[in-house]
Amino acid sequence: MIKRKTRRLMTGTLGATLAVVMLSGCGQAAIGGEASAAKTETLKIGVLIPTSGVYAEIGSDTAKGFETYLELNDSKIAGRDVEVVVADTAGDPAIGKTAAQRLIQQDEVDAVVGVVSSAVGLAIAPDMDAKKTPLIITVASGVPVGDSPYVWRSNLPATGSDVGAAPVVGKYLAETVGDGVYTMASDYAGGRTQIEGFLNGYTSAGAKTSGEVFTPFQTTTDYQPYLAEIKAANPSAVYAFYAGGEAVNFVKQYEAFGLKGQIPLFGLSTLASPEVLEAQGDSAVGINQFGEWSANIEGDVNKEFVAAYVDLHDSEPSWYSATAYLAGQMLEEALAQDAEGEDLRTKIMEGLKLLEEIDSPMGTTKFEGSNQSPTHDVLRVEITRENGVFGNKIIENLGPAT
Amino acid sequence: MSTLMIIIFNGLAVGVLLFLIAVGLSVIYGLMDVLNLTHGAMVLVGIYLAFDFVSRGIPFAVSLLLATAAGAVLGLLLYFVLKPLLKYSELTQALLTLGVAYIITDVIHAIWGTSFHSVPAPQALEGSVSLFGEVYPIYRLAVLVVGGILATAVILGFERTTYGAILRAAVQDREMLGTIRINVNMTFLGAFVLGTALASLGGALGAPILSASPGLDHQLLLFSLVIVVIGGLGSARGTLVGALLVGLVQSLGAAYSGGFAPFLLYVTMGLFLILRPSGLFGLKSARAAY
Repeated sequence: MIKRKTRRLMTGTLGATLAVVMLSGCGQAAIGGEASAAKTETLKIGVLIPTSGVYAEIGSDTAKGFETYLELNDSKIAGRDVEVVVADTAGDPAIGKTAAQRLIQQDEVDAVVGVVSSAVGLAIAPDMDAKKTPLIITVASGVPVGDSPYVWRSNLPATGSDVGAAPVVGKYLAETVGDGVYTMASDYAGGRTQIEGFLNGYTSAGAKTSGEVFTPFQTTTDYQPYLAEIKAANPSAVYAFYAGGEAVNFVKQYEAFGLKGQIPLFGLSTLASPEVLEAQGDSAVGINQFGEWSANIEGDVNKEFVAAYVDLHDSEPSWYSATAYLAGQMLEEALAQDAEGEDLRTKIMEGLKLLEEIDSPMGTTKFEGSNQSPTHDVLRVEITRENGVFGNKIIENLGPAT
Repeated sequence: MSTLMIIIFNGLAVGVLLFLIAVGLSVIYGLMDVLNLTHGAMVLVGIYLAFDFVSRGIPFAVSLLLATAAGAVLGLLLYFVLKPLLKYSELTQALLTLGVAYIITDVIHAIWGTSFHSVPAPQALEGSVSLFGEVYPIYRLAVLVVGGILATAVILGFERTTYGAILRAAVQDREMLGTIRINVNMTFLGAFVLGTALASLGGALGAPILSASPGLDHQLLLFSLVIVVIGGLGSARGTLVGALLVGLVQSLGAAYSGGFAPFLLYVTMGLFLILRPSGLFGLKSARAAY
């Protein structure tokens, strides 16, 4: 039953440079040579993502975002050649753990980037500790980073009821929609924590929900029974957390069973993300979603990122690609700190602790006092479609979340 | 009340779709004793083919026929891959067919990528109607009707035709069948091709509801196995009842037990395994379905 696929990703530009490394000065003790040898030591990055299963497309967007960073920086991070090793988690904690262990122990990567499913993130955190290897989570929001000094993130967390975008969104909907929001999410670590955070913000602002449901994760294709129940509850709005293939079916069926246009649909930016929009089609138009990134964020870094991404991959970047790009920036900035350390792993770790502020696709990413995870503004965007082309219009900035 | 009615109705519609997806597995497993775990992948082939044909502008009905034909051709190829296995244990079969299933899904992703694709329902069947005072998509009604007709045809073909009689006889005792000058190999080949063609057709017909996405094959294979356990091996009628039951348990469970829906499904299957291991209408015991 176990599906394993580890393959080395050697993109066109990387391919040539990857093979020939670790040559000059390795093992030589010549004075002066050591510093330059250390300088040219190849940086080995593990990209731990699902390349199969329901989150395969999110994994693909993650890899593309990281590749875009390398592409824009001559395939180098802090002047070092970069070797990328991709490992497949299949979105499954058991398979993900094996994949992570292989990256850390066999490939001996200097840092790991990615992780889509929070269940996978939770399973692998002890392995990062054991080998003192830094992990930068880019998608999974339900993994507590403070527990381990080696686990960092480039996206907003949802690890408790008071962190991340969800409580900010909860408070906002309590103020703008009022009572009667119905919450709905995939039944797994990610969905549970996102809803918990939302409810904290929502109820502490004095609002009451009209109901909640958690749908079985990865086994639900038919949402009709849940939607029928929602209709019967007559809520003021629905706040939903879905991603990937589940988001496609949910949003399409929300329209097919007549809820669209009757009950406003809100969600986090996973709900109608670019990689699912084409499949969702017109059913996604009008969804209002909240997140830390939009292709329309002003700023040179975001413009450059979006343009390079479209150019390189011939597809629109998503939030997943943007946070993966930021992970590249974080590695760059961490190594640029030139922190003390016996190996690259330690240098990255020590460097990450010194991070303060990065100009990122999210606008400004702040790390000060935010416990190994960034501070980003939460945006409300609306999905639009003109002449068949999807867009996301920024409606409002809800302010910073950590 | 109308909420309950629409949920029950939807459960039946989903059940009919599940029947089309699972019947091939039941026929192949019951008849040939081959635990064909490529079944979910074959359904996925049907879904992606429907997506491919429809997006090329081929009318939906024609796409269904093409997907069915492609499923039959693939089944023919698959039969010769799996034929040497007939004499080995079910574990060997499970391992090999699962391996082949992974190859099939990887080929699917190599051709169509890992993106999600939705398949639009044919124009005449787009939109929704009012049913029990609730909004219900027309396409699902159409699946209920078309699926119902197909289910009747399969069951009648299985129970009332000479070929059906031969198939049923083969489930019972294939050596005996050989002694009365019936080519058992050809019978098996026919049943196998029929099974994969139905899997592909079920996928294509379900495509506008299920959407084409990676990982779907596992879910569908699991549903099919549960249905076959409940309905009994090699019985088309049992598969239909099993599928309707699974559809209803899923729908009602989802609406009224929240997160317990999958649990209820496996409780149902467990009860059948304990109390009636041969399933509802099984011609053989489902001894190998553990």
